[in-house]
Amino acid sequence: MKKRTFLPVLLAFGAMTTFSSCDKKEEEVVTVTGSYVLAVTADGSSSEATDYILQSSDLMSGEISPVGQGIEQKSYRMYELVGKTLLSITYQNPNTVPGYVMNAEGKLVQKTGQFSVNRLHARNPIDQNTMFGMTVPRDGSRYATLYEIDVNSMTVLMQKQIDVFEAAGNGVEWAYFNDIRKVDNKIFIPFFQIKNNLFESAYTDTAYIAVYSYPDFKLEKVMKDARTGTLAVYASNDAMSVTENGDIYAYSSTALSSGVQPSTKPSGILRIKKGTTEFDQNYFMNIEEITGGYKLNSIKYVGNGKALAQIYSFKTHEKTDLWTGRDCKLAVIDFVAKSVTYVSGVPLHTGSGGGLKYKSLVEGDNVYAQISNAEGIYIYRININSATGTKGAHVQGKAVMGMYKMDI
Amino acid sequence: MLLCNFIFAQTAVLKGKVLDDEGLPFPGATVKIGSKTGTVTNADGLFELAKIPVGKHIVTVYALGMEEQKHEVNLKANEVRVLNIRFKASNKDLGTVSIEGKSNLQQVKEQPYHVTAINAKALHNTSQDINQVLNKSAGIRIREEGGLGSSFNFSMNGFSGKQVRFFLDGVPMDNFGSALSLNNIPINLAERIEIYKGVVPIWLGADALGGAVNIVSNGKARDFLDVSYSYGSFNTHRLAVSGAYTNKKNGLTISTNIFKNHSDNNYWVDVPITNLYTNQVPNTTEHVRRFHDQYSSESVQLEGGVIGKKYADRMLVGIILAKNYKEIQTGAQMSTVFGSWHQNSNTIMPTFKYQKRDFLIKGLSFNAFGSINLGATQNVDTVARTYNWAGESRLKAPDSVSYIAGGESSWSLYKFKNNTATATSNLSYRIAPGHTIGMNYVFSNFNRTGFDPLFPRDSTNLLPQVLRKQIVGIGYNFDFRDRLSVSVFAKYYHNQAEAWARGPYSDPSWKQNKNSIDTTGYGIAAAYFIFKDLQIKGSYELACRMPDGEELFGDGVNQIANKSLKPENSNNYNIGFVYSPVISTDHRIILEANFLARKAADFIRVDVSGEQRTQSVNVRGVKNSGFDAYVKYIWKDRFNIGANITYQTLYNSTQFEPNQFGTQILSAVYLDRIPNIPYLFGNVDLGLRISPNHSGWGNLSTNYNFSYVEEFYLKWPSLGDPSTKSVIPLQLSHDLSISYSTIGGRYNLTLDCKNLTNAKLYDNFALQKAGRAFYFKVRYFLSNK
Repeated sequence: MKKRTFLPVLLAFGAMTTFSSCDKKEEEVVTVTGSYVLAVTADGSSSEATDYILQSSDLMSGEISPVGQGIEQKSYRMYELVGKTLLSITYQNPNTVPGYVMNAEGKLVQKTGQFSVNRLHARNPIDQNTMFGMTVPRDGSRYATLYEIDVNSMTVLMQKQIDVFEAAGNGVEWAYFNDIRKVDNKIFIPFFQIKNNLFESAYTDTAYIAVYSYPDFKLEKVMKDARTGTLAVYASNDAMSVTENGDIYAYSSTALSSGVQPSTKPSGILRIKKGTTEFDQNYFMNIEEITGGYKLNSIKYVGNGKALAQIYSFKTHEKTDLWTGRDCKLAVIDFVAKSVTYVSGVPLHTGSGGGLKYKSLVEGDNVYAQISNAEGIYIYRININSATGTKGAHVQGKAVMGMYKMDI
Repeated sequence: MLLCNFIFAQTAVLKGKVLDDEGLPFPGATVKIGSKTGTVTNADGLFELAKIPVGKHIVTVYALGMEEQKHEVNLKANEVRVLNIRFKASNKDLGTVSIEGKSNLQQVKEQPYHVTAINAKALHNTSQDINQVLNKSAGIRIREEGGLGSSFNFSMNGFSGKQVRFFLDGVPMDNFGSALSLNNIPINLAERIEIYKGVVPIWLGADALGGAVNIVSNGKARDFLDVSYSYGSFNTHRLAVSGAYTNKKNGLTISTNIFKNHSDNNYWVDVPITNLYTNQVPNTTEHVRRFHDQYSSESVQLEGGVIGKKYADRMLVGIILAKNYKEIQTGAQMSTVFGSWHQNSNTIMPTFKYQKRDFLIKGLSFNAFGSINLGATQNVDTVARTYNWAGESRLKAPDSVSYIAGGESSWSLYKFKNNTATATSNLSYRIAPGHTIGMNYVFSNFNRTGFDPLFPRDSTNLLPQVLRKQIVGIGYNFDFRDRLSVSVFAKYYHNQAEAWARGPYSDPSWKQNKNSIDTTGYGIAAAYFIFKDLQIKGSYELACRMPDGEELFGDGVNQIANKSLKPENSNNYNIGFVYSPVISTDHRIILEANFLARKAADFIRVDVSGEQRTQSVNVRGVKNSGFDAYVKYIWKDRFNIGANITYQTLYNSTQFEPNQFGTQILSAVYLDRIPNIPYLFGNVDLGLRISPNHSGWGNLSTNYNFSYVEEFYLKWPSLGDPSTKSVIPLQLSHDLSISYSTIGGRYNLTLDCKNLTNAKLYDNFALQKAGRAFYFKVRYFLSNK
């Protein structure tokens, strides 16, 4: 009589054993080498959104996927290649930055040493060993922090506090820096202005570049030009293209779709001649005039006065377009000839999330760029001379956050 | 009754009902005659013993947590004697985690649900908060960011965050604010804790997706005083006072719950110490104390009114006043260190309760509850310094400057009020014996206003955001001869939200957005006794959860609105059994197993749009199947051993995910296990009482708990080179406590040791938890019935 009731118990434990034997799907582990390095944000919801740093030897065919390969990051990150070291920098304040290098077998490995910095809104390499990075406040604090980072020792060589109200010079709004370069032992830092963390501003109709001394970072002057609006885009770090002869070409987007505050001025390009700290009053490339009313989203300098640019395919930017970077075209810009040549063979795509700066790499006369649209993400090879694009590898993931060519 | 009984000459039958100290049926009590004959009461507290020889017998009735009862009976041949027994609560059962599957159920209609009830009374001598108790229960995992009072994420069968709802005496707790939460309510405030998995009965009116937890406080009308104080590692103090007094002549009653918690939470961690000048993060770690993690909370709940009147069985008005101070030590990962940032919050909440049986007509019961929380929360981040784990800091300014305005994370003195008002009412009507219908209605109004004195003209803080939620539930309950119980129910949800928004960048046109959503859910639950010691249960619910105000209209800072957000829903299935055979009267076994399946759609998750803005979106289906099981062996009231285990296969069932353009893209993580959720874990507990019952020496008891969590991946399992992946390692921890109490349980002393082996334990992503810790608790309990 009593034994019968043990049956369900046995059944239960049997079922538990069956359940326990189901397990996660098989993982294929592939070791991929190659000198192309792509940081890809994988599929997943925000709390799960994670980057994987992948290697590839061929960007023009097949699929680039984080399934079973790639170096897992702690979160989604931003990247900077300094010489031979790729830094993976977090969006959080403050956090630990690891560095990756190619080992003798051509495999990307983490190098010894880590350092801690805050989120870097403005950044660029200085040379093969060092870079600048800046954390810019948006809560009304007075100082931005500037780091000079050494990738050999993986330390911060110098930390300076930059007064953000001083550069803006009006006492109400402050400078929001969005690029940084060392030019002839001076530091050029373009900025737009904000008065709150909604990025509202009354100063949207002038281009600004603050000029600091090095290494003591004293504000020497602020270059201003009212022919166009503020330079570049939030955290884009592509405001200034430094050509081989030392001239600098700086662009202004003024596109709401790129997150820039509305301006009455046209999108355009200014010049700073080598050795000067003034905008060249004899040079202005009015992009809207040349293209018939279209604005710039981003620029990647290629060489010989030529750059690849993202230009919007529509003229009127509505509220709903904010931050979308939607429907961009690629174009080759010749700074000296003031010409715009649209690239053929590349579909309309989004220019959001950093434009071309980190989402493309230059190899000779070719640029490999991630092109993201409703179809998904594909790598395109664009020949600058012929202004033609060729479709390449498919990328499995949400976005390419960095594209680099790295040598052993 | 349940089994046919053939009555022979010279024997008799003894049957009856066992009630607890409050007059409710007591299942699982042992009823013994002599040393050989015995039985255990069923779910309704009923028992029956047949073939008892005629003559005089001593009937002994006992159960965990109750004082043993003895009655003498003199049975005649062929007599069917009815004996009803009422227990008195005892405090003998010290430090024993007594999870009685069905023994604490409040009403018969709750029976078919997949519910676990924890007898909190048995834990009143231990120094735990409600979270720590829940964490030892099957199917539940609570992941804390640090020590006492730290933020936590509650997950039940794979659902977490807002998807699981919490109640205090049936009142939704999401209105209480952080000053009164599971991580600071001491166990002494609770009488029992009910955990509803997957299927939530209508009288708990809420839009829960994955289940609900109801804390039942000592809110019964009787006179008692319970004072306890504990002190332990990390300068942790907990004081709890609860008491109630009722004047039997005029029915006036007053009760109070007071608690005060404090901890420095300065436990040891192993971390690298960043050099604040070179910013170098060393490869080696140092053993340091957490230095900015103090937590203090205090709360007073006062309630008074009348009981046993013509117009009301109970009518009470009350107020909850609470205050909270919390320092923030780290960010999501321990590499982010803070040294000054903290939060203050308070609760000012008037309450009203009304209860009446035979309301207007006979058989109709009515109860109502109303409250409004006028409290506020303030974020204080006003020190512009960078800290490291050594507690050193550096001003975010040139060395020549000694002070600047700013914050560690973001300069803020933002203070906000949610002004949450809640009204609930329940009606139930007994149509005929065994047939009951019920209705529940919940209304809540959320009206957020905020202000930051640092940014007085920031209009986004000033404009109100309003969300009104209404939920109506109706149900029908059918009971058949104590063997079968069936509940069917339907719920209707209505959300109405209003918020102000404007275009980007100084666009002056503020617009009021209104949005309303409606949805319905339904379910069925049934339980059946196959044999008197074996009950099977099955339940199903199409559960829905409405998006809340932040999800719909944004938070005014980084989260942007999504007016087209749909409710999330889940099909929840449970099937299980409870088996409690009588091996002999001294030896008892309880075995419970539950299998579950969850199929969720339109899961609400937060998506990153643009650089730093987030938006709640409906994506991803999630499927879960698994089981939890529980077994307990009890020998008299001297010794018990129990174990539970939970296994869940929670995987991503979304094959195609929309990209930022809305195109469906084949997902790389289709059928992958959902990351960062423990999937296999269990507990073993063991209780032993050393002193005999009536020796005059009181009782000494000891309790041991072992907890196990299998290792799991932080990120999607199939992505990345496995050698580079972040893994949360296997964790084993041991807790031990020893208690002494005098006879009658008036004075109690307890020594607790948590994490006995000083093991390295983690929650979330490598957030280190406290090592070995000791707590000493003194409790005084006085009750008069």
